Amino acid sequence: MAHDVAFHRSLLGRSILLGVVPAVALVLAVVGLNAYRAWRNVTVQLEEDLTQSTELVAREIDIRNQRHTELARAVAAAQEAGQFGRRAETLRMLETLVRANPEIHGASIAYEPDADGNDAAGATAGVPAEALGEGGRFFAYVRRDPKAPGGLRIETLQDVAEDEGLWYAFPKQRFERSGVREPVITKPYSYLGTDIIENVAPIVVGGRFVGIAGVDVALSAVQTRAGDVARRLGGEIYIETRGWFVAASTDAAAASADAAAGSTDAAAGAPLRTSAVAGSALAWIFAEAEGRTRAGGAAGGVQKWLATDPRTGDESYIVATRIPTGGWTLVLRKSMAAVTAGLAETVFWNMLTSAIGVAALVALLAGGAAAISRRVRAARALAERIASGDLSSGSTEVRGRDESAELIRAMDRMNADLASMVGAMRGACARLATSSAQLAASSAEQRASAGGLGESTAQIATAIREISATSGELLQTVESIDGGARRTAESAARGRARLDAVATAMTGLDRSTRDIEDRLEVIAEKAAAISTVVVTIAKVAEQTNLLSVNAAIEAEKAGEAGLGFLVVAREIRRLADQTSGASFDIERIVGQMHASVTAGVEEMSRFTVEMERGTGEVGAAAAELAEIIRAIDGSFTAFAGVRASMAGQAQGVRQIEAAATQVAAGAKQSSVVAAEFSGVADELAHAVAVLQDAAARFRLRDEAGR
Amino acid sequence: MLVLLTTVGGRRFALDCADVVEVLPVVAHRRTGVGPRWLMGLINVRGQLLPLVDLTQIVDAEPTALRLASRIVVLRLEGELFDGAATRVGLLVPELAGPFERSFTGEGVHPGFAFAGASHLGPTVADEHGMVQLLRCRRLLEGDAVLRELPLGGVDGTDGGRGG
Repeated sequence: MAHDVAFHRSLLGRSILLGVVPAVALVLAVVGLNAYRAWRNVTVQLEEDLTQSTELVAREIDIRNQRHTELARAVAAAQEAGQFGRRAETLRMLETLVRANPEIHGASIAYEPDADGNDAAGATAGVPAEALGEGGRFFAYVRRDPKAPGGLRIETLQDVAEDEGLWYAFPKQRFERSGVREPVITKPYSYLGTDIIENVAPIVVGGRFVGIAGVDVALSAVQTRAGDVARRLGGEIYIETRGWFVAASTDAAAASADAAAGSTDAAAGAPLRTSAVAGSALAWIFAEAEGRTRAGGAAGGVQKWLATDPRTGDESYIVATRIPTGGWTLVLRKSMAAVTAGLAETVFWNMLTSAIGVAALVALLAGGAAAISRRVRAARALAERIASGDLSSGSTEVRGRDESAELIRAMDRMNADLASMVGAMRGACARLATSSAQLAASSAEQRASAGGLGESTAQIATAIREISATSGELLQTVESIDGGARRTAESAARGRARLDAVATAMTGLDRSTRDIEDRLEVIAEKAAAISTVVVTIAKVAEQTNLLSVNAAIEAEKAGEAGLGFLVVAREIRRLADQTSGASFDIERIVGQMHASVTAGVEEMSRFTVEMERGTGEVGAAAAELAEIIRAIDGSFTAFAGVRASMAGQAQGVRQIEAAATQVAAGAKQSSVVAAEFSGVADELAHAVAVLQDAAARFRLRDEAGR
Repeated sequence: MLVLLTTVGGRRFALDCADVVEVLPVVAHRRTGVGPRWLMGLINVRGQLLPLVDLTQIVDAEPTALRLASRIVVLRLEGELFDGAATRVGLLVPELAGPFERSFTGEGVHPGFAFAGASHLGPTVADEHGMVQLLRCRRLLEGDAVLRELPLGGVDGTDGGRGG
């Protein structure tokens, strides 16, 4: 029976090796390439996006800073231009300034002690006590306060612990040390509960530092703007200034946005969000940023690099730029984990789809190959059974229309055909055996019957001689009949001659009759001529009558003179009437004569018809007699034929005798042939037995159980 | 009076011989094709063309085929109907007998009816063969103005050859 095939050589194994493995390799290659391209796209786009956004934010913050410092310098310039010392006017100007610039949190102005010589005056008209510092010094701060009347509140400027007097001392020192009058921007700090950045410009009157003018901006405004960008980019933004930094990361930006949306008071209690760079977790970033921006040279240049946190080892993408106004550094950081998160998801889904596809492919291939393999195995088993001579298996159930299914079906058909062929062969063998036995039997019979045939032929010869004698007697009888027929023919010929004479007489009678008819027609014509004459006479009589009538009328018109003429006219009319009557009589007589003649003609015609019929009957009788004579003549011919055939019969009898002799000789010979035939039938029976053995090697279905 | 007798549709009529010019056998006539149905056409009487009228259709009997006994009676008509002039007309009758003497006056005579359009029917008498009604020939065509429109030939005044 079937021996198993190694898996790697089986149909299933080969189809998986040749189909699935390359397909999987191809899919993996495509997925890898896609992932690499996605990575490239993401990083390039991200780099560009980050750079542009950072640059934009930095420029915007720079513009804001410039604007605010310009405002501070404008206030200082107004003081220097003559407003210095006019405290009430200065306060109104500050109020106007704050109202006019919504983004400004507050504005401040501070004089050196008694720099304008008005300290002693204290609170005067337009200058409230809140605007004065220690010893009456002008030390005013105008800030927004929705609760205060007019939306503004005037307070006394205060030093706070955190700022270390920076907002006042820093510009004063810069001017006094190096004569710099440029406005300065302080680091972020919390002033009176609000995180602010202060733009401060020194007031210099007569070459002497006399005070400062400041414009405050809430830190939340910068944080909101930077935070929007940070949120969009999914990173964190830090602004560093003078060793401090403020975060504008997603969370911080959200909090700052809340603060900006609410009142300034709402942010008053919020903790300062500035942190010292030194010692913070981000110190290394600022250090690298410092180094790179410095190395980059010109302010505003954007530096970007991939950095690794030395403490955690996390990779981050960092973009840094300097904001020239205020000397700030803007740093944007985006964690690589965030960058690759989306990418990993893309790769994951790609891989998942590919895995499903590959699995489906494998399943389909394996299924198809298994089905084909199953059918091929079935075909092989069937073929092996047929080879071993077992034809008993029935048809195999196969679905599908592919080549393997067709193979199985073809094998089935072959099996069935072979089975039916072997069955037919066996049947034929059985029949052949029977036939050969019968053949042997019949050859024996033939031999016996050949002997019998010899005896029979002798008996036949005797019988034929008897037939010959009988036919001679028959010939005599026929000749006597012949004589009778001759006599009959003679008397028939005599009758026919008499009938011919009758026919001649009747023809003469017919001719006379036609003669009479012609004469009667002449009489009829004469009668017609008489009628014409009579008509003429009648017309004349009528004319005469008319004439007499007219004559009578004329006579009447003539009166007495016409009386005699009237009598004559009447006579004429009477004569005319008589003529008319006579002519009527003649016409009547002629009519009767005409009728008689017509009747005679009709009688003659009828007689002619009778004559013709009689002639016809005589002719028919003659024809019948002629027919009898011809028939008898024909019988003479027939008798001659009988005589000839009798002679032929005698000849035939002699031939039969000869044939019987030949048959007897043939019977002897056929007896010899039958003996030979019997030998051949024995050989046939032997050959059939050999054939039956060969057919028995096959096993058919209805024998399967045996 | 001397009359000619004729029978039309089983009724016997008498024609006064005073109105009759002559009696002719039936001669061929030329059909007019128009006019009253009793106007059969024109006949040629010795060179004179006279209108031929059918008595059968005048007295409202079924028209009969021409027979050997049929006659044409040439009438001479005069009176106010013809403006005092005389004219001649051929009258086709189915048969004619006479002349006979008959009287249409006196005892046993029916004077006839006076309906409009019946003025040509005169008095009636009875004889041995039945009743005979006198036809007033001059009234025969009364009421039929069409005939007046016809160019009637044979005016008496010009008929110099009468009876010749």
